[in-house]
Parts: sequence; structure tokens; C-alpha cells
Amino acid sequence: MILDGAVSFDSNGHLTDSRQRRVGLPEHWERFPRAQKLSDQQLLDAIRDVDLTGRGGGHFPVSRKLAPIVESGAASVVINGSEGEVLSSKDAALLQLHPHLVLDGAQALARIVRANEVVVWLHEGAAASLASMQVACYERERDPRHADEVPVRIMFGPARYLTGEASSAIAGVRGLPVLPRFVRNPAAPWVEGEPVLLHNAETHARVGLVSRRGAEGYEPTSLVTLVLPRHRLVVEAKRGTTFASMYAHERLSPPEHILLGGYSGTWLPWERIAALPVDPIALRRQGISFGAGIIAQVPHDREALEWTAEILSWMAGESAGQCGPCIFGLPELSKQFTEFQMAKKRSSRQRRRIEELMHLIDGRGACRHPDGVVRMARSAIEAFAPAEVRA
Amino acid sequence: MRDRCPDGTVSLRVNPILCDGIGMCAHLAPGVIEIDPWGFPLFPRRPLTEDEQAKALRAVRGCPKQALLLDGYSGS
Repeated sequence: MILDGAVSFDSNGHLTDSRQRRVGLPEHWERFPRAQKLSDQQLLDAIRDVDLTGRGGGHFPVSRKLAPIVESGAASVVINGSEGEVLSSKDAALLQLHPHLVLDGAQALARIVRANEVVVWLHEGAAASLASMQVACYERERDPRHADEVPVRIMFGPARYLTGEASSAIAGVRGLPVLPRFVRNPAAPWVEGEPVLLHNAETHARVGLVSRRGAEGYEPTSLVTLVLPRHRLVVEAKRGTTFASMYAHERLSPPEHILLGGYSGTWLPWERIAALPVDPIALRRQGISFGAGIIAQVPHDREALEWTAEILSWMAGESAGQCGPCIFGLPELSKQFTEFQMAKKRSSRQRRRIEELMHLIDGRGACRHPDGVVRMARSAIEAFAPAEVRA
Repeated sequence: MRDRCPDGTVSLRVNPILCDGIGMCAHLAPGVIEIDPWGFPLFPRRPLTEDEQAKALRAVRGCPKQALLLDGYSGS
């Protein structure tokens, strides 16, 4: 296990857990001793053998993303720690408690793809994560066990939702405007220039674990942010943990619905997921997207549809403003949805209008931002305003 | 948008960042490209028939922003 039990955060994403301590470099070596020094090829094989997938939300196999970049080489290895999804805190937990595990993964990958640097890509305002990573760099620079590592650069993007989108982050790392690009191959999210290897912070931490323990010693856990009505918990779920057993273990009473995957996620009734494993691949087999591992409940002072309308409005404002259907469609969807939510009697005309709008927006942006908004809105209507309002 | 272009087929794509919603494409490819309520192109997300391809090619060539692409097209 990476974490020593659940880590608590406040509802703004600040770590508030006084039992948790940041693991500095000497302690890191004690907790994660290097079982064996893997060669580059052994590490690549081990990453493939443990079926590691990208933890930014896409769950694309890491070994498939790596293969072409191992061939070509990369200019930089990027740790995407910007966590643009505002309900997520798992990457902040790693950067603040286990910075060296994250750096272990990035440095191992930098060696394999012959990169000259590791870049830590953060949200402006992520002060606690910044401090932890700066200290981690200081510690490593002075430790002979890390003498052969490449320099680490810490960079910031604006505190926006799309700062963590892969093509935005890569553009930012290159000193270009931090906006999504029109990319043809999602595994190579850059328009021009040398390849860049970008992984989410948790993905790097997992590569770090594999590099220290090998495939045999690797535990296939999942990091989850449980967004509760008044605070958050970052929990590490073992393989086989179900939603119900996770809630029971944390002594939480299950809600009626959860928003799985955050602001671009899916509202699901608890009965649908209670017995399912908290595991991205198993969920995908059920047609459910786990996203970046967010399980959210409605805040204590909101109704579900009201909160959904607020999220839609916020997400419309987070459009990068580049693609017509997103620029014009999201504010219109937000407006229609708010009217629908506030109406005393919801009409089938309103509902049809929203459905037409969602159809017009879906799949028409350069990035997946509008698609995520549509998915969330659609699932909210299914969950909270079911078909009887058609009458 | 995903690549919807099995071998040997041709399909339309737009770079939505370049597209300014000028609407020339709908005039050049009637019946293939329509315009949404905000002025941006709508077209089938599937391989095009030969007749559709010929029209789509006119739109691709005539787009003032060069925002339209014909995936899988190898002609000149």
C-alpha cells in the first residue's frame, strides 16, 4: 500500500489530516526499499505485466503509450500534477505525502526515453504541493543514490479546469499558451515538436512502485477521492474492494446517488455500483467510466439537480473558448438546464430542447471538455428527472 | 473526435479550433454539410459515399480557414 489509511482534505482540497506526515527521502528508502535494480527493459516488461493504466482518467495502457516514445526518445517527461478536476485530491495527496515515489517513476521513465528533464506541471495556487516537490528536489540533489538523475523543473499553469488536459499541459511546458490543441492521435497529444511523455502524478507514482518492487511486489490498488457532503477522503482501494465495502470500511453511510468521475463524470444510483469493484478496468467492462477516481456526493447544503446546474454553469465558463459548439453550446445548455431545474413543472419541451442541445455539442470540440459536460448533464437528467416528466 | 476511418474509406473532419463558422462549406457541399444554430458545420460521422466525397472535397478546398480535412483521401 502507498497510503497509511484514508487521508482527509477539506472541501476546498486542502490537506487537513494531522496524522499524515510527508515522507522525506530517508524514510522513503526505508518504506520502499529497492528490491532489485531493474534494467530499462525489465521495468518496461514489469509495467506491461501489471497492466498499468493512465490514472488521469483515460486508463490507456501505459506500456502502449510508452512504446513509440521509447523508440523515438522524448524531450521531457512531465508529471501532470495540476489536477484540473476540482473534486480530485488524490494527486495532491501523493505530491504532498509521497513526492519521492512520484519522482522515482518520472526519473525511471526519463532514463528509458532519454529525456533531459523532468517537469512537474502544477496548478497556480497549489502551494502545498509546490513546497513538497521543491523540498523533494532539494533532498534528491544532495543524495548520492540519486546522482544520475536529470534536473527537475517545476512549472505552473493557470488555475483552470483545462490546465491538466494533456495537450494544454504539453503546450504549457513548451512555453506556449495553455490551451487544448487539435490532436489527431490522443497517445501523442502535441501538434509539433519533439515527443513529450506526460503522465498523471499517480501513474508516475505507480511506475515508481514498480521500479522499486518489480512486478511481483506491486500491489494493484486504486487511489480514490471520496467527496463527502462536508469534506473529502483520499482512500487507497485494494483490488476486489467494492463500493459498498469501501464505504463500510470508512464507516460511511451510502448515498442514494454518486457522481462518479467528477465534474465531467456520471451520476449513478448507488444500487447500480454498490456491489461493483472500485477498479477502472472492471468498471469499464460494465460500461462505466471511473475517470480520475472521484466518487462524489452532493454537498450538505445543495440538492443534486441544483448542484448539477451549478457545475454546468462553472464548466461552461471553463471552456477554452476555441471551438464554436463549446463556446456557444455550453452556456446555452447551462441556461436551459438551470431553467429546467428551477421550473415548478418541468415540461417535455424543455427536456427535448436540452436533449437536442446535448446532441449538437457532443463530440464536436478539439478536446473532450464539452463531451464530459454533456455526459454529466445527461446522467443527471436520467438520475434525478426521469421520464415521468415527459408526460 | 475519434478516428472513424476504416481502411480504404474517406470521412470528413473539422479542426474546430480553426473553424470560424463562416459557412462556405455548407454551400459547397449541399446535402453533406449542414450548419448548426451557431454557424458551425455538421456532417455525417461515418465513411462518405463517392458522391458525398466529391462534394466534401469542394468544401475542403474552398474552406477559407482550411479547417476541413478529408481523412483517408489519397487523391490530389
